[in-house]
Amino acid sequence: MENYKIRFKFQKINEFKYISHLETVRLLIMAARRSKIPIRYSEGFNPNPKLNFSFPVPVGLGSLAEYADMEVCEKIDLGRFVIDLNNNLGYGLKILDAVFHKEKLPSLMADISVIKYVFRLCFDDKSILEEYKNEIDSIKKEIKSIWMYEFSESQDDADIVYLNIFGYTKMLNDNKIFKFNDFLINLRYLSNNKNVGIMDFFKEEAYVIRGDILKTPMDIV
Amino acid sequence: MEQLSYKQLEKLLEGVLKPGRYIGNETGIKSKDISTDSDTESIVFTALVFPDIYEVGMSNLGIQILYDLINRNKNFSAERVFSPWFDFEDNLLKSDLKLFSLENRIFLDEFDIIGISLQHELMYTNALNILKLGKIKIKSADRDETDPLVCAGGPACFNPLPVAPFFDFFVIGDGEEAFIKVLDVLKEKKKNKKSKKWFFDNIREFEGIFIPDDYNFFYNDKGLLEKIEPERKIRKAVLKKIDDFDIVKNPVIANIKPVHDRFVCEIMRGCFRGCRFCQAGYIYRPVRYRDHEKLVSQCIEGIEKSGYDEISFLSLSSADYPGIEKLIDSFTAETKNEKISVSLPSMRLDSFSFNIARLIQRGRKTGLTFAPEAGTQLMRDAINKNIDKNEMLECMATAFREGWEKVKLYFMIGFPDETYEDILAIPELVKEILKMGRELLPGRKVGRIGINLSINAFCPKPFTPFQWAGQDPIEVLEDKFAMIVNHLPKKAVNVSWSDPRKSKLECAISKGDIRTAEAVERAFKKGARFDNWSEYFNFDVWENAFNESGLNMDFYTSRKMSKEEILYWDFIDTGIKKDFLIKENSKAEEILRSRKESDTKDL
Repeated sequence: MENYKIRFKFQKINEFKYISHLETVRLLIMAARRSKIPIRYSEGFNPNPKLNFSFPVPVGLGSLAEYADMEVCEKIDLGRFVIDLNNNLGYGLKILDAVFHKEKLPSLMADISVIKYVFRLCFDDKSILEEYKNEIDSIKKEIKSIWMYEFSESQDDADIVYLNIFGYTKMLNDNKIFKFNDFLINLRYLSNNKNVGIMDFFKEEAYVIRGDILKTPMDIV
Repeated sequence: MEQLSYKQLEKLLEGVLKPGRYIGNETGIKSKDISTDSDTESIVFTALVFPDIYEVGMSNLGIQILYDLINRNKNFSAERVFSPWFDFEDNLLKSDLKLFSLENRIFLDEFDIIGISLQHELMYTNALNILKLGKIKIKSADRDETDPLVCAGGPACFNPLPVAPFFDFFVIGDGEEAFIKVLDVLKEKKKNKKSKKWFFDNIREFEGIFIPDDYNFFYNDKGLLEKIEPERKIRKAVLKKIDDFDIVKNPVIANIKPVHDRFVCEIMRGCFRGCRFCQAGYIYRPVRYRDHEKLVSQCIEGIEKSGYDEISFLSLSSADYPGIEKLIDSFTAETKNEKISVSLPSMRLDSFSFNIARLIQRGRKTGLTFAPEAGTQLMRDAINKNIDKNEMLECMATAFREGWEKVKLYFMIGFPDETYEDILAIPELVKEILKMGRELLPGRKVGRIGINLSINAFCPKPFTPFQWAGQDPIEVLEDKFAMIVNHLPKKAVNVSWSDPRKSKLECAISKGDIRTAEAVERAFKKGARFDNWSEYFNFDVWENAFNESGLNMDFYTSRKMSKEEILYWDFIDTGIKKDFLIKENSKAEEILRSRKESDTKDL
C-alpha cells in the first residue's frame, strides 16, 4: 500500500489548553475518523493510528505551535484535510497548516530542540524594568538548563512588555531540559515581589536546529 | 442569566487535577447559544445533572438521550452538570462561586429546572452536594417561587421516599415522553408567570409523576407503615414504541476519556429473564426491542458522526435480542473497512452467546465472563438464574480448547435460606473449571490460565420477588466470604469482593422510607459524598446518621418484612402486580424447602 506522510501544525488554546496530551491525541483521532481521513493503522490485534507528536505541552499552557506527523493511505487534498478536521474539532484545537513530506525526517520528538514561550507582563512602573531583568538573570543561575530571554515593548499599550523565552529542550553536559513549569514558578515569585502582573503566557513556536539556524518543523519539509 | 467568565474559570482551574472535566466545548454540544440567542425568556433552561464525576457521567446513556431530545426542541435548552472533584469543589468554595453548567457556564440557580439522574443509592449525597454547591437549598420545603424546580429520575428513585424531601417531584420510569411533557407545562408556566402550585397541578396527572407533597405516610406504634394517603398509585411512565425515538446518533464526545469510551446503542429495553434478585429486570419491563433494520442504519450513522472505533450493543441481556447474530453481522459487514470493534455488555454466557463472543472478539481471546451468581444448581433455580452447570462447563471447555485463558466469574452471597453447601459449591466450581482448563488448554498456555472471581453481597431490592427478604448481617457475609477464600486454590485465582458495609448501606437506603431521608440528610451534612467510591465511603458516618435520626439500620436491612405489611413503595405501580412478586417469591421458597425436606430424610 502506498504511504503518505503529512506534517501538520495546530494550536491548542483557550479551554483546550487544559486537555492533556493523551486526551488531545484521542480527540484528534476521533476528529480524523469523523472527517473520513484515511489514517494508516499499525498491523496486529490492536491497530494504532500512525500518528506521532512533538513533545507534549504542559497542561494549562496554551500553544500556538503543536506539531504532528500522520500517515495516510492515499494522497488526499491537504486543503480539505485542514478544513474537514477543523470542522470536526472544537475551536481551541485548530489545524493551522499541513504539508506532505516524502524524505525520511527525524521524529518531531527527537528533532525539536528549542521552544519559544511568550509572557505578557504589565508594569505599573517601567523604571523597575532593569531591576526586573537582573532578577531574571538570577533565576538563570538557579535553573540548571539552557535558555535565553529577550524583552520587546508593546506597540499599543505602554504598560505592557513582552518577555520571550527560548528554552533548550535537550540535555547538554550538566544541563537539564528546560522545564516551563519550573521557570513559571520562579517568574511568578519574582513578579509578585516586583509588583509586575503576568497577564498571559503561551507557547509561541517550536524549532529544530539546522546548522546554526532555528527553523520551524514546517520549514524543513 | 448569570454566567461564570472564562477568567473566573481559569482561576478555578489552578492546581486542579484533570481540569479537562470542567471546560465544556465538546464536539456534539446541542444546547442553545445564549450569546446569540438573547431571548432567554422564551426558552426553558434545564440543568441535566449527573451526580458523579465527568468521566462517569459522560458514560451514562440516559443523560445523552435526554440531552439530545430536549435540545432538539427550539423552546428548550439543556446543559450538563457533573459532580466536581474535591479539589475543584475546594476552589469553588474558596472563591465563593456557585457551581455552573458546562456549556454556557450558567450558574446552577439560574436554571428553570434542575433534573438529577439517580442511578444508584450511593449517589444521593452527591446529588445534595450539587444543590449545595449551586447555593440552592437542599429541601424542597425551604425553596420558594424564585428557586429552580428540582426533580429526579432514574432507576434509584423507583422507591423515591429516602430522597423525597429534597425534590419537588420525581419522574418515575422512562423519561423520553414524560420529561418533555413536563417541560411543555414549564414553558407555559414561564411564559405566563404562573406559580409552582399551578405547575404541579398541571403535571400531577401525567404518568410517572410523583409529587412528595401530595402524600402522607402513617405509622403504627411498632414503627410499621399502616397507611399511605391518598390511595391513588403512581404509575410509572412507559415508552411504548421505542422505535419512535432514534438512538442518539451524535452524542456529546467527552473531552477526556470517559469510563466507557465507545458508541452506545441501546438495542432493547427491559429483560425477560426474571432473575429474582435483579431490580433492573423488573423495573424496566416490558421488554421492548428496537427494529433490526433501523438499528443498523442508525448505528452506522452514529459511528460516522461520532468517530468512535468501538460500538456497544447495550441492554440488560444483549444475547436475548432476537437475531443478535444477524445484527452484529449486518453491522460488521457494512463497516468492515473501518475496524469497528463490537462489545456486548451484560451477556449471559451459554453455548449460543459463546458463539457471539467468538464472533465479536475476532481472534482476540481476551476473556470470557460468566455470571452463575450462585454455587449450587438448587440456589440458581431458586434465584431463577437458569444457567445450567453442564452447559456452562461445556462452553468453557470449548473456550479452553480454543485457547482462551481467562475466565471471569460473578457470584452473589447472602441469598435467602442460603446454606454453607451453597457457599462451598463456589470454590468447588472454581476448582473444577481450573482443572478442566489445565487439561484442555494448549500446552504453552496452561501456565497463563487465570480465573477472576468477583463476589457481591445480595441486597434485597424493592419491586423484586426478594423485596421482603432480610440481608445477611455484615459478620455473616464476612464469614461466608472467608470460607470461600479458604477453600480456593492459591494459584491462578484472583478474588475480589464488595465491601459488605457498602452493601448494607445500599440495602438500608434502597429499602428505606420517608424517615430514612433524615438519615440521608444527616450523613450528607456530616460530610458523606462519593459513597460509591471505596476510598471515600465512610460507614461510621452513615451509622451515626441513622442513629441520630432515631433509626436502626438493621430495621431496614436484616428484618424480614411480612407479606401482609404495607411496603413503603407500595404506592408506586411498576406495572407488575404484587401478587406476581409474591408468587415468584413462593416459588423460590418452594425450591429451597425441597432441600430442607430431603436433608431431614437423609438424617
